[in-house]
Amino acid sequence: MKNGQNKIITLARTPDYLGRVRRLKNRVILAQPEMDLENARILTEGFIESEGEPLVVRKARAFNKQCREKTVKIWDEELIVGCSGSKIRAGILCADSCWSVLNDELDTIAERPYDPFYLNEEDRQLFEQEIKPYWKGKSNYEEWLAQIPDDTRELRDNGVIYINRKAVRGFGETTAGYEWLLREGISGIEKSVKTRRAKLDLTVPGDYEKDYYLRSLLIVADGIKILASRYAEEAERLASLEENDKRRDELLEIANVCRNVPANPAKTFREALQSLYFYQICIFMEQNAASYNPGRMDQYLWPYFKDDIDSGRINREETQELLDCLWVKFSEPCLFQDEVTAEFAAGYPMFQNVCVGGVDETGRDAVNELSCMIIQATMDVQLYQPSLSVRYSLAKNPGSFLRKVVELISLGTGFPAFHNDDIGIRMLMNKGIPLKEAFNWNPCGCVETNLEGRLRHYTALADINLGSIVELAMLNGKCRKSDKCISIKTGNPENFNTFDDFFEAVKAQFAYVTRAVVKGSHVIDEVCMKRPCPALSLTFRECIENAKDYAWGGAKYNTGNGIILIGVADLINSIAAVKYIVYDKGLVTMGRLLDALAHDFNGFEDILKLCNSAPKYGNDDPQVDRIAGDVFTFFADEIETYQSKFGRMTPGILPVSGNTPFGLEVGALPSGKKAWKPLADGVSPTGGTDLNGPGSVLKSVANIPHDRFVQGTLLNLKVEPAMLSEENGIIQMMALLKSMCSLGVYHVQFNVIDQEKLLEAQQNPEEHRGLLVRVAGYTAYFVELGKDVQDEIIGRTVQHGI
Amino acid sequence: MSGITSKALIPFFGVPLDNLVGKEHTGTVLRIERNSIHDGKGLRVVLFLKGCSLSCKWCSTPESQQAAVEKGYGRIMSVDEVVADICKDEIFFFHSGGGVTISGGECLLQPDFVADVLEECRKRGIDAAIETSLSAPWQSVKKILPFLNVIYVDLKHPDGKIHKKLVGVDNIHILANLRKLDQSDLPFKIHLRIPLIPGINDEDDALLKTLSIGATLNKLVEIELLPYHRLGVGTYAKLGRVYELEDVVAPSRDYIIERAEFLREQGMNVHIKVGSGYF
Repeated sequence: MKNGQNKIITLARTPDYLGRVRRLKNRVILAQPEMDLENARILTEGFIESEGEPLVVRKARAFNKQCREKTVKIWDEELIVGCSGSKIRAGILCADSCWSVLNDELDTIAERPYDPFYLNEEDRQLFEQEIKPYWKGKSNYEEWLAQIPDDTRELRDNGVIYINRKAVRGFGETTAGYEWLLREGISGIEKSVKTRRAKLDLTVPGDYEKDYYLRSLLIVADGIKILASRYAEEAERLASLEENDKRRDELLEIANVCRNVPANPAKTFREALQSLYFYQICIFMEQNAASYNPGRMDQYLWPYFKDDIDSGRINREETQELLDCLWVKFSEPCLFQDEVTAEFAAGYPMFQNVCVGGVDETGRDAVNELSCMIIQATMDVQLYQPSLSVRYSLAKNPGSFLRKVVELISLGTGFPAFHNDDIGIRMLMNKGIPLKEAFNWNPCGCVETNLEGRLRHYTALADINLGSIVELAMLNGKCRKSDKCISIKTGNPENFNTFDDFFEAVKAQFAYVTRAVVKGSHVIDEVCMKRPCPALSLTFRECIENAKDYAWGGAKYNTGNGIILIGVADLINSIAAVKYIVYDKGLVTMGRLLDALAHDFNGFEDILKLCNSAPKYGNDDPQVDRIAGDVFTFFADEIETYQSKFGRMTPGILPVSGNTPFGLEVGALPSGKKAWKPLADGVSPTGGTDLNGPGSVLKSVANIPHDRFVQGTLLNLKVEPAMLSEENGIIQMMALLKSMCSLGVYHVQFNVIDQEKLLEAQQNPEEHRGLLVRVAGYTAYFVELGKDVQDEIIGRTVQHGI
Repeated sequence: MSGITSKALIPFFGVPLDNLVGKEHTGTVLRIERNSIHDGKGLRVVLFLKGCSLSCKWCSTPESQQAAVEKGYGRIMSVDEVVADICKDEIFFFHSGGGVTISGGECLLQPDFVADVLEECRKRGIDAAIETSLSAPWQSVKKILPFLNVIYVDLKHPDGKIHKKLVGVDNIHILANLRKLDQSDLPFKIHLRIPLIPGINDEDDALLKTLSIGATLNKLVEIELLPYHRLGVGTYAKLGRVYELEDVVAPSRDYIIERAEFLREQGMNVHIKVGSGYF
């Protein structure tokens, strides 16, 4: 996922409210991410104090203590307040999940290449003297390391799978019940808990467990209310010291808001935003994890907005300012994860996915004025969070909405993630959710699918390296890098008489690896039974009704975890190359191809040329695209064969940034990929092999049965500047997006070709062979033009970003 | 109760399926481009054909000039192959109102092939346009008109003598074709395009003369100014040829806009468009 520009705003002319937003934003950009161990310290003290209580009660009590004792700060000029840590850009450590991750990186975390965190000496001592001694041997991560199945470990250690992610951070990948929270307030939810608790009979077996579970919910609810009141006190304190009249009034208003929410139902739009954000920091405090998704904000905030506007309490500019202020808040927290996981998902990726558009619960157009104001907030703020997603319903959403989306795309920030609504709905239904509720789906994290307040699963539990799958089939179960036999023996390919023999070997390797992932997933599910999250569960109605935590399967819907495939184009192109050059055309023997791969094509340049000449995915070429349809149908079938204790396992295709580290584990492939180079991302074609423009990419990509990869599929598409800068181009861009929906492709996000990308293409022409230069009556590939002409084009191409 | 006889159940497609395939002609195709937004309405497939009746010094696609396949440029394709290739983009045509634009070279040098391709496109509901210099026999032009919605006519220079000097042939025949075109009963529209070459055809007089030609046309939609560009110079070297306009500098966008303004100020009631998209 591409992040925003994160550059300091220096706009010449801005609406008044943007002055504040600019200053808030610059403060975030200039702050260095720091480890923040206050949260872990209080958690540890809380656990020491609650020895003997059930685990979930201890977790709740520690959370309550965090709310009472944590540092409460209100930064200058902000209107929406709250911080999960004590520092503005804090990475927090959830010691109960994974204290040892920090232990392993104490000396390196400040300097590591991906997502470094500054760790001050005081915090380091705190960690070594208080946190580590208490948690040693008690964390989820250590349990996982002790219980990981042998075959799973072997595949992990050889880069065939990546499966530690969920053991090194908390749940995340979820959408809390924000709508219910805003409507009822914590007090209303407490009432539900108490009503449920009153029905228990402690002489009935099982009711005692339910009783203490519900008690833990009340403890966290109490904590959340206390935290908000502490912010109110802080605002009042600051107001009493404030000399500027305007700011004093603002602080008193902040105090007013925090006195009411989230304890009570939100009465205004502003209270709704504040209530939402308080809860957001609370669930992040409870468990450091990516992808706590605010979801469909244009829907659940609508009543508050409408009421405020209708009654004249607020005008549109003030609404926009509040949204923009909240947007800056979303960019403050930083995901802390171990260095390997950070490499797979770099950029402190909080993945708080906000979504606009789509249809409502009747299936009608759900776009409203707020949908466009939310898009505008992303255009105003241009920070890396929140992740903005669009649900676009081809049949129901208006052209004016699509146009606003294209305007955001044209800023070149990589936002929004554009989702085909009908496919999203089908994905939810394929997870077992009835249509009526599936209408209300929301994108989650990167491009996964979710349902607010009702659905529990890890959307991206483990990644499978599809480059390795090909390699294992080519090497009869051996890993090239380690030269070790790590998978099943599917036969020496030199003895394969037909393409089908080879294809079966690939499938068998995939089946073996999938089994190992499923076994690992079951272990993680078991370990995570000891990772209750009462603060998150509080807004899942069925968790209260069932008196069962989110972690234990208390949500209304539960599915098996997500298994993510990475290296789609590498796999498809490799299979196609073997079919084409070895079996169909007989241009090379399998033996010679294997030799070439073993030597990374060095001295086998003729074979590399043959490999590159085979049909490539991304060109609307049925010779290769048919393979895509067959093999990905098989993959989905295979993954869906397995059940977990929560439901059917779920496939998805999204790399975040995992295609780079996975590529380092894979030698040369028949696709023409050189050894240890990155794999292709998502469902996108390999760079430099798509030569027919964006439409052909969409046509190829449409061969993957997207709706079956229910955890989402990710496509990066390049687009020429004229498609976004000229009036006619914008209209055609809208047509392209509509076409994508008709084709059944699920998601796309755009890289606008700007000066920077052209310069890159000049440096690395091989990876940018498909880059088209067009004017009326003329088209050429950029990399084939002379340097002087290239320079001229670069000079005329706009620089995107701010 | 069913009043429908089995006979009535026979499909009544507007066109029998077997008529949709099997054209005999082949053509020499330079290349097929997709998702073009610069060559007509919507997202278009642009079919560049080989062979040209002119030899413009500024030609950006010199590899299209020779009719035969040369140095890896071009290939022979059947009507079926070409139509199948165009149809791959039907979904983009549907959403954008796009279609196919046949360009060149000079597409009218392969009239039978072009007519067959366009007829097949019409049967499938695909919008069709051609881009031409009209430097071809009227019989060739006439053959394809029934299948066209738009015809882009490139007028290089309004003066016959200068025209001959610049591109090798006089424009008498071209202008005669243009007038006949305008008198056709068929419903297609005409766009005039002027490739604006600094110092060669961008002076007031030449532009005014083209404008006055355009103003007399009933079917004219607009005159479009196409900025000169040098994107094709590298191809000359690949073909072992010399690019004669080495010293001409590509005009700025502001200059093209100024030329367009100049034409608009004449009050001739002709819409003037500035060609889109550098890059």
